[in-house]
Amino acid sequence: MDVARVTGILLGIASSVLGLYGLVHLKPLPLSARLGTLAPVDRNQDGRISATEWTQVGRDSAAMVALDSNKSGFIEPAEAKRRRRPAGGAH
Amino acid sequence: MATDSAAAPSVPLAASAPKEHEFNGRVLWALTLLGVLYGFNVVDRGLLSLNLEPIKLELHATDTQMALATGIGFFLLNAIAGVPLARLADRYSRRDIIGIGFGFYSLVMGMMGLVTNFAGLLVTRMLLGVGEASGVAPASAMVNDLVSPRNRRKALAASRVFSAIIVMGMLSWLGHVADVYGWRASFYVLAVPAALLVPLVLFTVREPAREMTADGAPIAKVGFKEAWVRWRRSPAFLLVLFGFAVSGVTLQANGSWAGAFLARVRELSPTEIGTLAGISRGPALLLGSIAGAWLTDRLARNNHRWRFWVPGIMLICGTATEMVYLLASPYWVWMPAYLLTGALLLGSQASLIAVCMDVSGAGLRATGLAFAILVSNLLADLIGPTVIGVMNDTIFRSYGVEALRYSMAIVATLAAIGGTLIMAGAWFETEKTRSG
Repeated sequence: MDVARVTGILLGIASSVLGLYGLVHLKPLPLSARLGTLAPVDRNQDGRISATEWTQVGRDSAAMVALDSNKSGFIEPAEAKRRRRPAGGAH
Repeated sequence: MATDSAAAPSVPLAASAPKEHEFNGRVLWALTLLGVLYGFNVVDRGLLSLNLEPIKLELHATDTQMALATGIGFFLLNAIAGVPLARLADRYSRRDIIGIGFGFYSLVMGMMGLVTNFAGLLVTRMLLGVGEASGVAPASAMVNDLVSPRNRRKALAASRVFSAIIVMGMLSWLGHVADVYGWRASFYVLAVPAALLVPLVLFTVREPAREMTADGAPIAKVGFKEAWVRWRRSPAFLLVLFGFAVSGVTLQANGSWAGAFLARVRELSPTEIGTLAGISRGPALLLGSIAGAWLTDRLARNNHRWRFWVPGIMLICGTATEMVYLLASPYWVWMPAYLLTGALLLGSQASLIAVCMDVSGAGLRATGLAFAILVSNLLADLIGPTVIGVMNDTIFRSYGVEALRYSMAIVATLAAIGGTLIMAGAWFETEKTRSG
């Protein structure tokens, strides 16, 4: 086997080993990360924002009512992502 | 003119192409693998765009720094390394260069998952540029010799189809991986397939015979200086070269910022962006490339100038649809425009690459394409994404998240200018530079 093939195979193996090593040591992100820029508001990191958490950071409770489109009492990831979307806009 | 006499007419080259150069299982397998590797490159570019926001937040980087990482960081060494690697590909096995380059590229991709600061991101992006430079020009040169000139567009389009399948399969899935496990995971995932793909390229793809003259003699090697003397006397080459590069500014810059645009302005999640990018970029590449190649070949039977006009018209129309995608607010308006933009701008690439090789002249088609890619990288990829980042942080700063709309719209107009230059090149083409 020539030098070019050996080099290519060694690089390929090293790459795969590195990729697998990285994947093995990864953990799923906390649920709060799915809230995007609102993640810091989710103090208990349960992936949704309660009215208490919302007002604790000094935010307007009327804004929460507007965001809570399914009236669950929580801002969920899908609602957080839509929070700045203009009326009649995307999705 | 001495330079004219040195350039062998291309029609006899097409006629002298041996039968084995037509599509067969071996050629299709090579096109598949080359397309898969190119697909991984496209996925990588889309992946950085997809992860731009979370990487920026985690590394505490500014828009300008992220623009450097996506623009100069990647394309500076990509452009510099491209020419010597293309020259190596002219002398040694292109297959081996592609295989080694992909192994290196994948290794750096895995290293990107380890970066903890902006400097690390910049260094890995620069190394990634070297890895990708070893693939694009040598792969195009291989496709050039795998088939006869009259099948070149179809072969390039077929390769794009295979890459589109990879994009469709990978990007939406990687968006979900990034959503659940973070952006690092998506880079690790892309590093894994190298142990399989590199041996496949090195052991199952045969290095094709190089282009020959009409009487079966090897084409004399032409130095870069002599090549430039020929090219600078060819208005067709210069117009196509600059049209290719100028339109590349739009493709590269707006492609790099597409993920950030969808996240900031359209407020989509990584999963939604990945799905959307997979849905649009994959089928758009597929349909646009096939339609563009088929239409070009069909119309060029009656008038060879359609080889210039089809990609030129696609770029001009793509600019119009991109304006709609960027500036319109209703979902039912910007979404179809986004899909159409992908089909027109990305779909024009196979025909653009073919016309670049056409106007380069016999024996210089691969070198000409490598030079066009170099100029494109320097002008488009080096400046484009950076300009958008700088415009966001300066003249459009007061617009907040909406700044991207206007920065990208300004850059989008360059695709129409590039398309016009390429269309103009048709009027200056001569029999000596025509092929296929």
